[in-house]
Parts: sequence; C-alpha cells; structure tokens
Amino acid sequence: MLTDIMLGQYFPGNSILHLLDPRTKIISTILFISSIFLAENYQAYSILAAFIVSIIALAAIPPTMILRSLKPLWIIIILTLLIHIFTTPGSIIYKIGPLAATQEGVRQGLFMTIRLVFLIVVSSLLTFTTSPIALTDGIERLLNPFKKIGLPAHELAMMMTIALRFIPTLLEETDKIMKAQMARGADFTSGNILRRARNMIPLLVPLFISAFRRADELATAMEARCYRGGHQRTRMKELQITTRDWLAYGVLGIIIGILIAVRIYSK
Amino acid sequence: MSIRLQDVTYTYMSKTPFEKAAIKKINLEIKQGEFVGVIGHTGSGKSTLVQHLNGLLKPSSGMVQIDGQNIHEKGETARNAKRSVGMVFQYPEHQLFEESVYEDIAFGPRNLGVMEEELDRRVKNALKFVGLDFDKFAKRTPFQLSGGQMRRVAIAGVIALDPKYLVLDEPSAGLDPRGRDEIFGQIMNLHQATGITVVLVSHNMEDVARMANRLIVMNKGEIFLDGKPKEIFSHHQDQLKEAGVDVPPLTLLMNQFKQRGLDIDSSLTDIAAAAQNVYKAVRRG
Repeated sequence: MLTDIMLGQYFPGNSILHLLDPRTKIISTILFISSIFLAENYQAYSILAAFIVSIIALAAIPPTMILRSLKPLWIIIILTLLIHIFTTPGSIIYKIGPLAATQEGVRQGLFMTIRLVFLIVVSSLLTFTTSPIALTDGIERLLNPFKKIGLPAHELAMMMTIALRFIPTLLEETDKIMKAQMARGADFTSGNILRRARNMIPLLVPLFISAFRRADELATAMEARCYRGGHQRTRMKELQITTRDWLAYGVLGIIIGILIAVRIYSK
Repeated sequence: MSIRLQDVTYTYMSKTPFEKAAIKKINLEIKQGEFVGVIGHTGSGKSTLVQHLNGLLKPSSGMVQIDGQNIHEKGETARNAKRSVGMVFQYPEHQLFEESVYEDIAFGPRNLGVMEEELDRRVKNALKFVGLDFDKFAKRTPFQLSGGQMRRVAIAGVIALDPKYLVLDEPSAGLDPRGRDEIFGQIMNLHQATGITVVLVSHNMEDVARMANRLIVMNKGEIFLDGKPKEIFSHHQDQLKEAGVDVPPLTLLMNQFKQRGLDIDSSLTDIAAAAQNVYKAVRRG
C-alpha cells in the first residue's frame, strides 16, 4: 500500500561513504559534478567511469538501485542523444528525410549522454548514502555563513526536517483513512476524473483536519520546550570533520588533478 | 458461516532493506456468534491480522475466506463477502468528514446502495445502539462533539452498514474510564441483541477478559495462545508474560489470595462474582 514507498532513496549502510560528514558529501558532489565537465575525450571519461564504479562498490549500493534512479529520466537521456546525433554538423553517415546523423554528432551525443548519466548517478549516490535528516543538517551548516545577510538558515532547515519527518506520518494517516472509508464502501479508483475528485472528499477532509491538528500539537510541544529558533542553539550531535573527510577531499583532489592533466596534455 | 484464514503471511515493504513479516502462517477460524478478543504486545501483528479479515490487506501468501468465499477473487460475491465485515479502526473519529452526524453515518450505507427509507431506519438504529439521541444529534456537525461522542458517531457509521461480523481495533483508546465502559457496554449489548460476531483488538486484558468468550494472544506475528479467557488466565500465565501482556488485575489479586491458602476460584473474571467467591471462602475458612 501507500506506506510501502521509500522516503527519498536513503539506503541504510555502514560504508565509508555513509559515515562521511554530510557537508563533505554535499561539497564533494558539487565539485565532482563540475569536474565532469572537464572531460572531453575517451581517456577522461574512462577515468570518471572507473571512479564512479569504485565509489558505488565502496558504498555497497546494489547496482539495480542505481539503475532504478536512472529510470524516471531515461526519456531525457534518449532525447539528448538523438538531438546531438542529428543536429551536430560534420561528416554525414546516415540520412532519414531532412535529418542527417553525423559522425561528430554520434560522438558528441554519446559524451553528452554519459555526462548526464554520471550526473544523475553521482547525485543519487549522495541521497542513497545520506539520510534526509543528515542532509538537511549539512545544508544548514553550509548555509550558516549566509545568516549575516539575513538568510534564516536554521529556520529553513527546521522546516525541511519537519516536512521530511511528517511525510511518512501523513502517508500512514492517508492509508488509514483510505482503508477506513473503503471499509465503508468508498471507491477511490473508478469513475471519471470529476467523480474521482469528488470521491476524494471523504479522504481529504479528515486528512486536512489531522494535518492541522498535528501542526498545532507540534507547535505547542516545541514551545513547551522553549524552542526559540536558531539563535545560540546548540546541538546534541555536532557534525564533525574527521580524517575520513580529509581523505575523501584528498582522493577527490587527485581525481580532479588527473582530469585537468588529461585535458591539458591531450590537446 | 465463518471467517477462515489459511496460512496467511503478510510482509511489509517487501524487497527493500526494511522488509518485515508482520504476520506469519496464520491459521484461524472465527465462527459466527463468537466474541473474540485479540490481544498482544505493540507490534505483535494484531492490527495487521484484523485488516485481513475484510480484505483491506491482501496476504503476501495464503487465503482468506468469508462464508466459504475467497475474498480476493474478482466479482460480486467476493465484494459482498468483504462487505459483510464492518471494521472500526483505532481513533475512528479521525475519519469523520460530513457536515452532519446524520450524513456521516449515512455515508457507508449509501455507498452500498441503500435507499432513503431504509437509510433513515439504519441511521436511527445505529445512533440508538451507540446511545446518542437522534433528535439531539442528527443535525449537528460532528466536529463540535466531544471526543467520546465523536467516537460513537464513527462507530455508528460502521454499525449502519449492518455487518455480520464487526471488527474493532482498540475502540477504547484515549477514552476516559467512563467513556470506555459505555462503549464496551454498547458493544456487548449489540452482541447479545443481534448475535453479531465481534472481533475486539485490545491490549487491555481486563476488558477482553470480561467480554470475550474466546481469546487469541498474538506474539511476534504468530498466534501464541488460543482458547477460553478463563483457561488462558489460569493455566498460561507464564506464556502471557512471555508475550508481554498483563494478566488482568482481578486475576492477579485472586491468584495472590489463592497462594495465601484461600480456597477460591481464581479463573473468575467478573468482579461481583469474584467478591462473592472470596466472601464465601473467608466465611468457610
């Protein structure tokens, strides 16, 4: 049923990637994604591929999960490939009506597609190995410097945390109310769109009532514990950069160095 | 005429790292006219079990039959079989949505195609059963009632479906002792007046002990004990402890009397009868 869906795509584990500080993972992901654009020949792409495969192995994420993360985007991937094949000028290898596939196009399209796949895989690795809560914690700490210019970093992170925290609760609630109304003969699956929308009322009214009730209760509970926003607030689990994180930055630095070297010397 | 579960297993979040079998290989027959209490520790699988009784959950493996009909087949008879089981969830007042008490109770029967005159009769009956005055409550909005009244309106909404089997999941949760006694009194009356089959899920032993004529104790997704409440309380106390459920306070007290050498019947579950019994024993002793 509804509660069977996975929140985000966090895949619990104990690998070194799971244990890294979320800030390290966010920064590294951004750096690595930008460095993907350094690659423009086969050597560079194979280095990238080897690196990505080895971190997937290191994180112990099953390859099927990685493939599943590509699934929602495969139309875009195919489209990118086709557009590049048919729109890049160069020596023509095949013609369909007004469309001409060129050799340069195939090469360009292939590179673009691989880039896109790398991008998706690397960013899903971030969400596979970092729990949503750790991720918001990391984002909050990274946004901290911007507090000086009036960005409510803590409040934003708190909102995200609360929203994430209540997704499963609300799904559970939806599931329960749906079942309760189905047990009273309600039908959520048949009829045309208008009818279906009207059939949703017995689900939506109780759901909204309970969402507001929960919000109210949560606000009271937070106030009762003297929550006053982020000002001078300490944490129980302080994020800490350890040797592990410096090691990760080191490895990333080497990879980026190699990519730059390949780019300079292959010209 | 019965509800039968054969080798029913249900797994949550199957094929993910969070996979968990909530109930395992359950075989169970609930006969018509029984008052079955289902008890167990939190997470013992009791709520999952009862959601199979009217087809809200489809077993991962195994079969559920109501009156001989497999309820997960397609077609009219299977649907009617499912509809013969009324289900009251935990905190049923959270499912109220209509503008008036009348409309909310009428929602279920209307979905079943019950027409106006019969509908009116059913709503009136259902309200009477839960002890709310029709003229006073029918027109009011359910959201301005007290917690106990809202719960009763919600239960009335299920009773108005005219079910052959009534399943209640913790119907007294969050009510004060008086509200609890009232709800249970009404369920008991309904059972006695109409002979309706009742399945009552609870972790409060006392209530179950007093009302049920058959007790099912769940532990770790399996049926741990199944029998008459008296027998279970007097002969299986160690197993009850193992399953994480408490013996009712009355039984506990009676057992202590007995250990001190008083000749009494410790299987009694009714306070008045127990008091009589102790009184007699003391007079004799």
